[in-house]
Amino acid sequence: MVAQKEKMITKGQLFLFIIQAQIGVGILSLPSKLNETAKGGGGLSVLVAGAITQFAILLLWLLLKNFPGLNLFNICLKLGGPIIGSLLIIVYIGYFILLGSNIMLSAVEVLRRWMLQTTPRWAVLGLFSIMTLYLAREKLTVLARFYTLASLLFIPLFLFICYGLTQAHLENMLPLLEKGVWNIVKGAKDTTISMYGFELMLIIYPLSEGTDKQKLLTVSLANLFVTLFYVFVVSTCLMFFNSEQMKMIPEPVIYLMKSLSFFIVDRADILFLPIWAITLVCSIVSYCYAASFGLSVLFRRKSHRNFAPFVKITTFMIALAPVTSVGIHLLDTASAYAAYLFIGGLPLVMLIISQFIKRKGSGPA
Amino acid sequence: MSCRIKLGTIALAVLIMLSSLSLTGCWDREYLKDLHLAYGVGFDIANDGKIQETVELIIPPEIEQKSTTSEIHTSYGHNLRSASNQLRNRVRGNIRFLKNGFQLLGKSVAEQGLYSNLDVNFRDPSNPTSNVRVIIAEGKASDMLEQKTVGELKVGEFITQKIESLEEMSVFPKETLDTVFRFLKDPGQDFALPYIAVEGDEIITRGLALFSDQYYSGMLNPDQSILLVLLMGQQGKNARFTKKIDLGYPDNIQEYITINVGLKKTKRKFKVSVSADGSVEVHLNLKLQAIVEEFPGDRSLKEKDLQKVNQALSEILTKEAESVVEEVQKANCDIFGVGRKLIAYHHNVWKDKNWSKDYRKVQFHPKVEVKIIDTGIIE
Repeated sequence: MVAQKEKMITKGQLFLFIIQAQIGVGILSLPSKLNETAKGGGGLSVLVAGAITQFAILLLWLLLKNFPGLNLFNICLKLGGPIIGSLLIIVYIGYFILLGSNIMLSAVEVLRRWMLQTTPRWAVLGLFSIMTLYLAREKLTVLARFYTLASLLFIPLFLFICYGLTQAHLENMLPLLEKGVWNIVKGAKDTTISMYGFELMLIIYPLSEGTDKQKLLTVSLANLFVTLFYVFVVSTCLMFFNSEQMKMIPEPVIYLMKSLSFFIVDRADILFLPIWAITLVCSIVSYCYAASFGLSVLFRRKSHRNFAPFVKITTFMIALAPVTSVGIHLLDTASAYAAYLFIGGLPLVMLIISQFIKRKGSGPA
Repeated sequence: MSCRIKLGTIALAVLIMLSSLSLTGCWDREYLKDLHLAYGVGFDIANDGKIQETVELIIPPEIEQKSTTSEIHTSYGHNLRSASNQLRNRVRGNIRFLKNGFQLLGKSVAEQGLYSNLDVNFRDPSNPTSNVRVIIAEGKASDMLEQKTVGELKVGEFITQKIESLEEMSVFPKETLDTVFRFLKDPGQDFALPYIAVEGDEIITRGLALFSDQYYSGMLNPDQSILLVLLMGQQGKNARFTKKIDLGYPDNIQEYITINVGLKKTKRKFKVSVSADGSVEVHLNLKLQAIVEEFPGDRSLKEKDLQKVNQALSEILTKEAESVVEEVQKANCDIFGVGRKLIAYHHNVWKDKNWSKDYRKVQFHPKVEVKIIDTGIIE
């Protein structure tokens, strides 16, 4: 009997999966970071970052297209042989764990700063871990279905932020090019960290339906959606706060919520954060799933189910380690640079090698 | 196989035990019964430079159906938090500002600068900001709160209601801690806050306190305040003016007329232009649609009279608008956000300006047009 294949996810599910993986904790602080570098042109920076992300997606897609039916870990093994391949898989697992714990840590820090001030970090982290473990050990189809359900929560999030527009003034954002074009491009660099998540297409690409072209289109559309959503959020914040004020507010999106009063609700941020947390859970689960999936390939097991707890424990430990804000910042920087290497560098190298092998293979024949 | 199931069962049991640990309670819980709610807070700067905080606490009744009682407490500290902590030492337990409706700042605070004294409100997420009014008290805020009651009402309740109803009458612009925070940090816009005072047993409205950057710099009387609020583009439910007009009849009798311009939509045009030599001109046009509320003359208002009334009122209000703008400029208070417009649309001009000096050189051309559209149920 053929080994039972995992069920494929549909195009719509792929679309939502990428969106949920991409939208994370970064956007909460993004407007403030962009205000530093690009000021009013923050929205444009996001557009530039979206375009760069699109290039990265194209790169990953070219790599995946060369190896039909294989995911990142299979490709590693195929290209690098058992030893180098395994090493590559291990570093990729490390990368996924690192990013997963970084997101979890940032999410918990935000929650603790705004809502749960006296609750110890381990408790919140623990709750997050249990919640995400529960999902991450399931099959991809289960994840995809949950993400679809969770996507409904974009509607209230969107409406919440829209309400901020009632007090926004366009003048706060103008002039767009105050800091010059170069700084806007530089601002794109700050944005990329909020864009991560699309690299999970490396894992789920072979498990989704559709032709190569359709899949590329789906992932690109997801990226477009995320980019536009970010532009909207960043512009709203830049119009709501003035630049001087924004310099003092590290998480403008939540501060925006706090500034709004909805008739009987005095602090909308307390409503906003739990809804947002679901989106964060999706991001964390995706990375955890990717890491445990990698372990299952490494140890040649059919299911990743039993690896998820190990991944989760490691993530928990890593997220617990930094105590000061310096440590947290270090983890942030580490994951930013790791991402350059693992999304940009390594796939590019693999793509070049694969082209080389192909030519060699087809040459003599 | 069985071993595997056993492992799963144990894992599940551990999981349940761990998760039930997290159910025992929450760290961030607060029971309403343990808290003391502050309904009104006032700040002053004492003679020795310390911050004086005065708080009105509402004590829930022991038995239901009895009314609540209030207590006034005062404490001193180096900043707001330390004053609050001092206060916590004095009363029996935790004070929370969850239901806080306003912050009353003594004039000493307003003169010394708002920002440093409000910082804690913006920094601590548990402090409400979105619906908290900021009010300036002539003299000391503590004197006002220590009255404890105004008539039958508790002082905090009284002030909250007073501010709300005066906002509806367009005397005060609607400024909360949040909007104040925004303007405090905005180089291109200033703000004005309600200005009240104690007179005998009563708390009366002085008008608006104008701010330049974060410092008190001048004031307007209530009549001017209404016009300023309208010029700012805000509008309450009512906005009434009573003016003496001359209809030009041979007997030369002047009549008082009361109009309300708050019921209909006001059209406002605000244009900032820069001429070639870099001087800034502001055109501020206001089209008010008025309803006559009182006109006790011998004559009824006929169509041709309305024309005259319109013209007379427009002239009077334009003149008053000019004097309001003059006051505002004298106070160096960029209440209309001229600077913000310059930053956005004439950035190079803005960069050459030293706004704290150059704002006074801006040429304003205010113009108010009044059109009576209704005379009530009699002519």
